[in-house]
Amino acid sequence: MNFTEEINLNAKEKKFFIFFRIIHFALFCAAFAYFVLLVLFPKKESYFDFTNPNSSKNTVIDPRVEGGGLPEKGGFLAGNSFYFDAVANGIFSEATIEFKMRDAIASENLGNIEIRRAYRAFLYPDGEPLGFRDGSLIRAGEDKYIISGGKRRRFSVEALNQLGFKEASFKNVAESDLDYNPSGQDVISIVEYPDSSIFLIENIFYILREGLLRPFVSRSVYLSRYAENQAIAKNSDFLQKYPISREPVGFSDGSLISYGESVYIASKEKIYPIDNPVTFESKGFAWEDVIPVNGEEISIYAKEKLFNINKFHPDGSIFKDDDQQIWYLVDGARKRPIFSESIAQTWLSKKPIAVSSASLDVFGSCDIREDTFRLGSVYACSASLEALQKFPGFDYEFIANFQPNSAINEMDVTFKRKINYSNLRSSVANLLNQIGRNYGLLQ
Amino acid sequence: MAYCNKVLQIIKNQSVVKIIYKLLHDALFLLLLFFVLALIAEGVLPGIISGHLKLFIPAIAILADIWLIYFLGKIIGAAPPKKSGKKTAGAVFLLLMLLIFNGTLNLDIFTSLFITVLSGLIAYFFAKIFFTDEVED
Repeated sequence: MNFTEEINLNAKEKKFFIFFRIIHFALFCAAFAYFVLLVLFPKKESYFDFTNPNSSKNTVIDPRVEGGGLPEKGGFLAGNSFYFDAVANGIFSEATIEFKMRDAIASENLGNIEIRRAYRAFLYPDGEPLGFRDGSLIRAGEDKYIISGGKRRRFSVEALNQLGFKEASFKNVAESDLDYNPSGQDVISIVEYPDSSIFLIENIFYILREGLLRPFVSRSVYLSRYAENQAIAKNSDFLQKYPISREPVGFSDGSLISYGESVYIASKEKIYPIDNPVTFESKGFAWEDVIPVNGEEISIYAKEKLFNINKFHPDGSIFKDDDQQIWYLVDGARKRPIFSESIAQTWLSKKPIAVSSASLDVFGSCDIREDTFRLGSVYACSASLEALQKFPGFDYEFIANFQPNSAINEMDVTFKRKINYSNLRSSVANLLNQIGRNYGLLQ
Repeated sequence: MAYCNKVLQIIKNQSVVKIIYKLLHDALFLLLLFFVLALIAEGVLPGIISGHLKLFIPAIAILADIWLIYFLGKIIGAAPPKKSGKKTAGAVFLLLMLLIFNGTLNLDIFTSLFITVLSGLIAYFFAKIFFTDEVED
């Protein structure tokens, strides 16, 4: 290739030109190869400035000490545990954590760091075990119950016959499952319905709450919570007995709904728009669980801020640990275990998110040592993440245990991938998936 | 000062300038090749390049290269190339149309085609006005 035919070189100039041209092309190839490696084996970096904890440049999530809060200007006392989270979507082999100290410290070792990986909401502490959902109709042995106000209320034979609850709408459950709902008052009235009774009146489903009939916005909304055969059919005269509430009932908490091109998570009268497909898939959601809704169905919700990859799963999200056959429902910064499949079925509106309880006990770890090759007082720690990659979720929780008193200015967390064939294959597969998604070839 | 004198001496040495001039053309080719590949990759997978390298950096490098070629060309008295760039212009035009069409894929197909064709016509007539040598009476 000669781009400058008009420039003639003599023999000596030609030699120099060819020599520098070869170096030139070699440098370009090396730079191109380096760039390709950056694309195929990307790093993920997070940062935190202890001297400016409210800075928008801080990307480390929720840094805190036990009990909450942060010590002023990064001054940790010996024996303090420091917690922080980072999200790294993808397969990473190693995490390196660097601390830039305010002052030099005599010790070569600053302490150690433990790392575990799971969905952030799965790292919540356990709450009270969960019983059947309100409104559930269950049968254990000869007794039939309705779950009302969290309690199981047994029907008398007469009440059952007179009130119109259908035999087929009662679900058989084990006696042991009843223990998760405390016993309430028996239903003996043949005219008054217990709270959480469900009705179908002129094609609209209602649930009775404190003497008012709360309408379900649509059939689709109703079916996200209860089975169709559970509702007692009534005519419009029934509305004279119980007035209609102004508060409609929406989708079951944790439901995924779509309106237009956006997908939302519905939780507690609010909807959270999911920012992109990467967040959707990283949180363990399934596209087939998304329910398209209309304007009326979405209008009852207050729209909240974007739900991004850093956020916790909202209340109503359900995890399932296949190893132990335990479900967990996220509720108020707790995860409430569900020990029975019968109980779980009353809460599930979609596939549960797969988790592993083993992920709570498996840690990557490393010692924080002084990095003598760096200027200033810098301590670093590199931990292998290989053992954690089998667990679902891309959220990492770090627990740093400092030995001497440590005053830290800045912290950098870098996730890296090993350059090997297996990671290359997964990177390429990931890129092809993204292309497929962008062009609508994949869901 | 001594450094500036050294640079001036290098500039006055025509051999060195001619070699650098030719190498700058090679560099321009490589930068343009990289830039075109980066644009295509970015069009197919938004963020894949710009997540690691801001695209204005190679753009500035290309402009700097072109300016240096012009500057050194003046020193050695290099004449502008006589080859017609019509084939290259045609290929670049086609690539631009594909990138515009790719960028509007989320719209309705007919709207997307309309925008692409309209952009193509605008670019064509722009080029005709500014790059044609003929002046009509």
